Amino acid sequence: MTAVSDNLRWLRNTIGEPDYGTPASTSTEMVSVTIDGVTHEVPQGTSIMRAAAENGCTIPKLCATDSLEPFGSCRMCLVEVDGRRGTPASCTTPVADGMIVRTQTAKLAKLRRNVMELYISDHPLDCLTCAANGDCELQDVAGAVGLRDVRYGYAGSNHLELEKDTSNPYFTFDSSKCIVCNRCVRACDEVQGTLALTIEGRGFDSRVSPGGTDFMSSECVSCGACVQACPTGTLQENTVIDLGMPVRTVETTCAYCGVGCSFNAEMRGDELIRMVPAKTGGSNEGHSCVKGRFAWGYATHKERVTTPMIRESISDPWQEVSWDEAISYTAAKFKDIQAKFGVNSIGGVTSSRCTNEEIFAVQKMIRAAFGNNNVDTCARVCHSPTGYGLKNTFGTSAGTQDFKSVAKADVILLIGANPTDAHPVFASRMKRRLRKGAQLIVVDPRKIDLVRSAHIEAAHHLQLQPGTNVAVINAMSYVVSTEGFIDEDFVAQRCDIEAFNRWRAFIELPENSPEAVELASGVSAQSIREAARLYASANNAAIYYGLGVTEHSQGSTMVMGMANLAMATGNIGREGVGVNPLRGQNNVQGACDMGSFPHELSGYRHVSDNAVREQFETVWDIKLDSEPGLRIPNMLDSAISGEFRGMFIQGEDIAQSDPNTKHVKAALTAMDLVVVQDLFINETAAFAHVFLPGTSFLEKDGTFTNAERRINRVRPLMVSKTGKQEWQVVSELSSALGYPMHYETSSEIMDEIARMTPSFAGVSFELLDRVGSVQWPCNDQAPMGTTIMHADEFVRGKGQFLETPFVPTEERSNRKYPLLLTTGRVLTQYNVGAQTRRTHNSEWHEEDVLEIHEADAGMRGIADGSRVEVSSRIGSTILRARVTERVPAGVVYTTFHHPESDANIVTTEYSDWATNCPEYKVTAVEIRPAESAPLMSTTTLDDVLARV
Amino acid sequence: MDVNVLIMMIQQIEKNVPNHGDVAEKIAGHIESFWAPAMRTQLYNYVSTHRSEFGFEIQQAIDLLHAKAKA
Repeated sequence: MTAVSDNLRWLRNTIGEPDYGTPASTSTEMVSVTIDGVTHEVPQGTSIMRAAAENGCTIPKLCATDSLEPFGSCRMCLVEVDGRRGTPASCTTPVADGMIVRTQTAKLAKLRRNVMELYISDHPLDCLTCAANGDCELQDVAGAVGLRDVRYGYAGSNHLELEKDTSNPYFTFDSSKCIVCNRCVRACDEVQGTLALTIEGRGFDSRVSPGGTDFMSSECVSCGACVQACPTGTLQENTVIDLGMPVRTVETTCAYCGVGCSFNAEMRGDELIRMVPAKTGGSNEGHSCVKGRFAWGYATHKERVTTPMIRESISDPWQEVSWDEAISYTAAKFKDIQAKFGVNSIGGVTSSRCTNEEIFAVQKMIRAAFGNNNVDTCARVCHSPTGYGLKNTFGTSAGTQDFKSVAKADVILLIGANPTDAHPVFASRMKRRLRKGAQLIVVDPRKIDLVRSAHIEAAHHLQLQPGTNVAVINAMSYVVSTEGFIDEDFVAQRCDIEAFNRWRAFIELPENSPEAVELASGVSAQSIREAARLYASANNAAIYYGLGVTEHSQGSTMVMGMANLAMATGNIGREGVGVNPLRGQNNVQGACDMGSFPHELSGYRHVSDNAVREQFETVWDIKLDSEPGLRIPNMLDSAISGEFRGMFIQGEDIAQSDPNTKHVKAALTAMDLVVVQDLFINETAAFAHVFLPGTSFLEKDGTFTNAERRINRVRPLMVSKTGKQEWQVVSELSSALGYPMHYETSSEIMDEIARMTPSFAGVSFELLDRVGSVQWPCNDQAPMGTTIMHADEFVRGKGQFLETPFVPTEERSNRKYPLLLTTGRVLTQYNVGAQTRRTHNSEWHEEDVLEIHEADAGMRGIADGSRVEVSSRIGSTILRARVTERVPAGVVYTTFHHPESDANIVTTEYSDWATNCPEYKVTAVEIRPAESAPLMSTTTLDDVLARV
Repeated sequence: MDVNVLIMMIQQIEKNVPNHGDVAEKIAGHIESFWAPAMRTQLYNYVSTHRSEFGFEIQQAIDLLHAKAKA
């Protein structure tokens, strides 16, 4: 690796990262070892191989890599140790104080060459035409050991005729090149935790196999860990096979889920060849999932729109125009609307898939150029209750831990989240911890993979009825409080005692007992009691949760309920504990941080706070509105009633993602001007008058903030295909509207964010380029960021217990709609699918399906794979049924990745009482066979127009 | 916007805010923090002519909001 300078280490003229052979020791004890005559101090427990590598001495290796535990099978890394017999493997031999090691002797050279001869005698001699040429450890080691001939010849028994497995769309498995080093099998086990790969056969017949079938048919989740681990060309990315080996690296951040993985984008010229997870990445530490690793081809998909377009009416064809024309047209239309209907008649939405800098620019345009606070963000429909609940209890709207913290958890309480599908890289961390003995409690209506999978079984699965989270969390707290599990010292020292006493009186009410909530929740009192005891008695108990918590009419109450439970048991403020939202999109945290909510400026400060507002007014040189603006559902409702007439939509597809899409489409149709800034003509763009082409994450220059508050750089790998960065377009639009906004670079925007946002005060591109990433707060008190929040005291001072009454949703099942529909994600698709549907990921998931229990299917005459009509009080759609026991009787489940199925046509407008986050997780439905119907929603344009 | 939506929202807030202390003040505080002024005005206009349709806490909350707006 050749770093250009400390500040440019993210940009390298090579590929790959240093491989020290074995994982780093975590010991703080140092020992002295002499390797090839040079003495080094290394942590106790370090392998000889790593000690040598860290000090610039490379020992040949094949089966070792520093992401895996040492294996000691290849016999290439043999060394001689004074005072010890034989030639131990340096990967499996830890250093000892005073040890003297020799890595290069005539004896070792002979041994290594002999072993290498055996490997090469059963390996194709096609190096010059092999896709791995230039990035093959076997080739490198053959050179290093000085192999010049193979005495055994090549005519003996071999595996050279084995067929390639090309079933996976992203990589090829060429078994003929396999040296059976086990790295792929161990990566699937140790890194990913899926155990899809195994070694079949014995002795000479041993071969790597995806469970006796091909990769596509196997349990492989295409995370790419095996490909990354392979030291030969056996497992190779298809892009490398097709395009050749990359030559340079740019470090950047994935744009899919809230884990926010760091990747080394390996390039040739300005062509992206492959994305390899960065070992230095704080959130992922060298691991990836199928989306981040492979599903980036949408950025150059033929359907990408790169030229601005306008049209007078949504029934007109699009007309391509110049940027200047698009911006002046848009500004004139917005100004015209405001002249006719008032300053509050327009607004906008920011996107969690855009950078902090792009989001900051949009909310600034709305507040300063639109002159109102009608700005909201897609977090409205996912984690807005997290912001509300954690701010009111802890004092800040963010998760408490870093991802690494899970390695210290003894009990993990996982509520309404399905990390193996939605946050796969974090799920792998969690699985590693669970396999080392941590206990798992799953609270979810569905039997998610973590309830029972390879080497993992949840201690408790509280399979509750949708909509009863609050009842169950209250019952767990009831047990904690009444059975003596309160951490009295923690509460006395760290929490508001008056609020605690009030909460304790509330939580001990008989209505909160496990027995009282048994009927409503569907979970036995005994199970709740046992789960509560397990959580409360752990040394370290951590809560992780997802949209199965927030997307309810009591979402905010549930977040506060979890915070109460964590405080009551003292599980806050250190590693291994905490309350941790698993955020859906890569920059949901950042979008919220940047002041995207209508009531808050950046850093979660209310617009009515005169001192804060005046700070912005001084810097922005404009008077700001001191009143909250409209939320997304308010904007849509106001559009239908005619008061809200124009909307700027940054990178969101509300016509597919938001609930009751019939209502959303009616609202969009009612507006005079809908401006969409996006990559593709999505469902929302069908109702737009202006389309401003956006940039993919491969073109963006800025930062994302992940679910652990980690601010990571997103770097442009290629020039913008639209000719502009999105913040430039927004700046130009703002200026055309009469509020001049000008930035030369996106780093200038971050500098402005840092100046005006206390938790970002120390953040700059220079810092991030130098250190990689930081977790906010990053300021004078914490110049390198903050890993664990609320360590010594809560951000708000004393932790605030809040009463959390269980108020059932208004959405009820009845005889007409007897089942409850809940929605979620699958591993291979992402949100509305705009990106993943334009990649090979659709080969795994071509359509949304409806999971239905066999009892519910049987009584309705529904067969597995048949088409069914899903009807709610709001609308209906047609899906294909999957009869399964993953859902309990009475509950059905689907995803909303595909616009054809329009799953949100059936979801209701019920929402969280505090934040209006939609209640996607509870919709009363009926299911009927619909064998002859096409797979699509039954909404017509007439339906939409009838709502206007 | 449709006043029925606003009515549903305030009734939901009333049911869910912690019920110790001054509930009307909590409802009013929540609405003041999160609702746009036009929504508050529209709800006030409706409630002031249909007070009997609402419980005591909501009536009090609306009065509090109105008093604040006038101040």
